[in-house]
Amino acid sequence: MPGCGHSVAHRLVAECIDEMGLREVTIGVPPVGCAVLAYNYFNFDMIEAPHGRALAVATGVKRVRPENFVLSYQGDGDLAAIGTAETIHAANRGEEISTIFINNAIYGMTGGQMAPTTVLARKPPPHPAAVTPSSMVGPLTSPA
Amino acid sequence: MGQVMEPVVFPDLIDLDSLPKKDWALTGCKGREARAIFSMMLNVNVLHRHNLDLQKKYDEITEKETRWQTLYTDDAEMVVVAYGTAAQIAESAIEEIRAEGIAAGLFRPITVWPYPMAALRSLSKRIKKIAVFEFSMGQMLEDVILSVGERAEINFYGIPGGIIPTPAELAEFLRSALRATARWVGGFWYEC
Repeated sequence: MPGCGHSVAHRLVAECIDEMGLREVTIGVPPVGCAVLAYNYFNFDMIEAPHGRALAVATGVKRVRPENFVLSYQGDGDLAAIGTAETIHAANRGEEISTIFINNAIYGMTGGQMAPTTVLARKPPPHPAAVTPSSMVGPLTSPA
Repeated sequence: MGQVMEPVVFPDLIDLDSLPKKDWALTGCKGREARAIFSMMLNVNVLHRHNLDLQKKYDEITEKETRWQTLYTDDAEMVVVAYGTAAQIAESAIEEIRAEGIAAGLFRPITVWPYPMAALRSLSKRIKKIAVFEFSMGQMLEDVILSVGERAEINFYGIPGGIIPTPAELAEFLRSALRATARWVGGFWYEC
């Protein structure tokens, strides 16, 4: 969809939280990037995390307060680029936290540069060359 | 990174409920307004106010939380300023030269930020020779200069990573510094 999709994603997350009666027990963890502004729009407790470290912070929150519902809301620059290690290890540990992954396949906040999530043959505006498997960054792929 | 092994004594556990209530803690917003902990403030006026609040907090920390230790300073004619492992070496060196009748003492900052400036300044009104000993080429030396000003002579023994001086080597430096005629900032004794 053109433009910023956060408003729609926020609405969907907020409606789910209300429907499940979780608002008063939720602690949210927004990342760095556009998604950090989530604390302006969600009406529950939130703590900002350093770039890429939302799932590490969420892990700490959940382990100290297991009775709370802990939610991270992260873009791909955060979750799948700078925070890849935190993401993989939080998943591997099976932490009891929830993550909303907002993937726009570029670094949107800084002007649309290519990211590890940028799809093949896409041509991000500031970059002169299309992203191909032979270009300097290939996209993240999972083993066949 | 380095490798250090030292014995430590853990303090007794405290009852967490005995601590002051935290009006910022995130517990889930049941029965109250939602809270957010964040440092990104896009509104310049909000950011300006926030920075002033942080400065006020730092001023209070400086006033209430600055810590240091002194050893053998009551009769000292020279005081060694050192922190961490360097302070342990300094303590041994001081004991070595005190056995020879040289009245040396130790000033050990426990907090280095905020630096215990007022305490060191007060000491420098009475003790006119100061030796700064640290495992760097003068990071703390600047704090000592700011604290002492021109009240006392400052001798500097800094050493970068690699070799750790023995207490005997520091003791020799302290003897030399005591023998030397007064030198002032800009003429530090660099021995490295």
